[in-house]
Amino acid sequence: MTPRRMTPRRWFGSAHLHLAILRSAAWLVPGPQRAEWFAEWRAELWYVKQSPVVFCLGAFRDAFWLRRNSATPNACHTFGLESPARCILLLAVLAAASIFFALRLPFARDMLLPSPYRDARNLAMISAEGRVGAQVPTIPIEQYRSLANRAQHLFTDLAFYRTMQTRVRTAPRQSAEMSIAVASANLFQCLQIPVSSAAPNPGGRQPATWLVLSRAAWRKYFDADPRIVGRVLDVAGQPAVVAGVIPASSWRLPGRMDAWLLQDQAHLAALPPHTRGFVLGHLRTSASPAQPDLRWRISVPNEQGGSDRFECWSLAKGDLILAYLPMALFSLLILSATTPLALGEYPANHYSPPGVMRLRRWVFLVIKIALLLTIICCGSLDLASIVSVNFYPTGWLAGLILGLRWALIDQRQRCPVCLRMLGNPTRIGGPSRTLLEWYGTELICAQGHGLLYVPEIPTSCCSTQRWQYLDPSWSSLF
Amino acid sequence: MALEAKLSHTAAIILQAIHAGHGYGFSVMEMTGLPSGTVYPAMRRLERDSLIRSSWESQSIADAGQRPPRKYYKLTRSGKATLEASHKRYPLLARLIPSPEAENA
Repeated sequence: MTPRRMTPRRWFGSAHLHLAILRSAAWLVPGPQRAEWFAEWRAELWYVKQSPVVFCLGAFRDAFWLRRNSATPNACHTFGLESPARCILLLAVLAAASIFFALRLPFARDMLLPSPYRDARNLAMISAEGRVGAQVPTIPIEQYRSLANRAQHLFTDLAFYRTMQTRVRTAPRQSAEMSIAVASANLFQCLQIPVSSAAPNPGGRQPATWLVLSRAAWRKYFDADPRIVGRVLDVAGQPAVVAGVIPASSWRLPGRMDAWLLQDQAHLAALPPHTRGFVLGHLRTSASPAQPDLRWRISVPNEQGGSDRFECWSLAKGDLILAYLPMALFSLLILSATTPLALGEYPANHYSPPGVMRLRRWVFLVIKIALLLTIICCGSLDLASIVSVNFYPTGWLAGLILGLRWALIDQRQRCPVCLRMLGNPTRIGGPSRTLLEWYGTELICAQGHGLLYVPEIPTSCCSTQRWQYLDPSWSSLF
Repeated sequence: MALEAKLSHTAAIILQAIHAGHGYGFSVMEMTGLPSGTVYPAMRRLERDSLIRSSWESQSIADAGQRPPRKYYKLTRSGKATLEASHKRYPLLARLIPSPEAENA
C-alpha cells in the first residue's frame, strides 16, 4: 500500500493541536511505556490525512487500555494522585479553571455574581410563550406596543431593544463594526443605571438619538477618550450623541453589546411591525413575584379581540446557597444509601500518630471536599452555560454524589500518617473462612507506617476497614 | 485452543490484515475501516497474547523516505495457528482480506 503523504503546510498548520492531543493522552500511559507509545502514535499520525483529530482522540482509548493492563500497581486508579500535595494541587487547579470559565460564561457569571440592578426584584424579561430565557429576540415590536398600551396594570414601564451589527464612525476617517442594541430611550431608566448627566430623558426636549458605549468598546475604539461624552458619532448613517460609558458588568440582559443606541418612540415606530426584539418590564410592586428567580405567564388582550400570552422571567437573584442546599441534602441521603460513610477504624495505641497528624488527616479531607464543592458548583454552572440552563440542578446533584463518594473512597485508601495512597493490595483468605476469621484485601503504606485490612463483607469481628500501625522495628524493611 | 476461542471477529480481522501485509496501525485502519481507538488497543492485546510481535524499522530507512520510523507488526507462529483456526470460525475472513499466499495461489 502506498502511504498517503500530508503536505508540509497542512502538517505544520495543524500539527500542534494533534500533538497536544497525543501528549495529553500520553499522560495516561504508564511512565516506562510512554516514550515508545508516543513515538508510535506520532509516526502513525504522519500518514493520517482525513480527520486527524478523530484519529488522535482514539489515542485516549489506547492509553486507557495500556494503563488498565499495566503491571504497575494501582496505575489505573490513582492518576498520579498518590501524594496528598499533588492531589490538592490538581483539585485546586481544577477549581481555579472552573471558576475562571464560570466568570466568562454568561449564565454561570450571572448566577455567581450579585445583580447589578438596584431594583432587580421589580424587573422582568418578557418573552414569547415557551421561549423564556431565550438568548434570541422573540417579541415583534407590534406586540411590544400592545403590551405598552394594555399591560399598564402590570408594568410601570416597558423597554424594547433589538441587536444588530453596524458600522460606527469612530474618527473622521475611521469606522468600526460594532454590536449595537437599538433600544427605546427608557432602557437604562428601567434598569436604573446612571449613564451620565446628559442621559436621555424620554419626556424632555433632547436630541432624538443617544449612544451609550460599553467600557470595553470605549477603550478599544476611542482610546478611552475622556471627552467622549457629548460627541456626535455617525451610527449607520444616523447622528447619535454619546450619552455615557457603562461598565460591562452593568449589562446582564441577553446579547453581548458594544453600544446601545437609544431612540425615541418616533424612531421605533418606523420599524417594520414584525421586527423582533427583547422586552424588559419594570413591574408594579403589586405585580412583583413573591420569590426570586420566578417565571410566570401573563395574558394581555390584543387589538384583534383575542389575547397574547407571554412569559416573564424575574431578574431578581435568589441566594445561591439556599438554592443549592436542598440538592446537597438530597445528595447526602443518596450517598449514605450507596456508599459506606465510615472512614475506618484507627485504633489508638502508643504507636499511633500524635494529635497533629490526626488533625492533618481531617484538614486534608475538609480541603478536598471544599475544593470538590467549588469544582462541582462552578463546573455544573459551566456545563449549564454550554449545554442547557436546565442541566445545572442535575449536574450539581450528580457531581455531588460522585464527588463526595470519590472523596470518601480516596480518604479511606490513604495512610493516616503520611496521607499517601496505599499500595500493593493482597487478597487474604476466602469466603469459606468467614466463620473463623476475616477475609478481604490487605494494603500497605510504602513508607512503612502500617497496614490496612479491608474486609470483603462486614462481619461481627471485622465490620469495617481497620488500620494497624507498624512500630519502628519494621522500618528496616522499607 | 483457549486463545482461538477468545479471538473476537474484530481481532480476527486485524490479525488477518496484518497477515495480509498491512504491517502498521494506520494501514490496518485503512484496510479494515476500524477506528484508531479500536485498532491500537486490539493490536496491544494481540501482542500481549503473543499472537503478533512488533519491531521498529531502522532510522536510516525512515530517513530515506523522509518520514518518522514506523513500528511494524508481524504474526508469530501461534498467531498464524490462531488465524488458521479463525478461518474455520469466520470463513469469509480470508476472502475479505486476501493474504499474499492466497493471491499467488
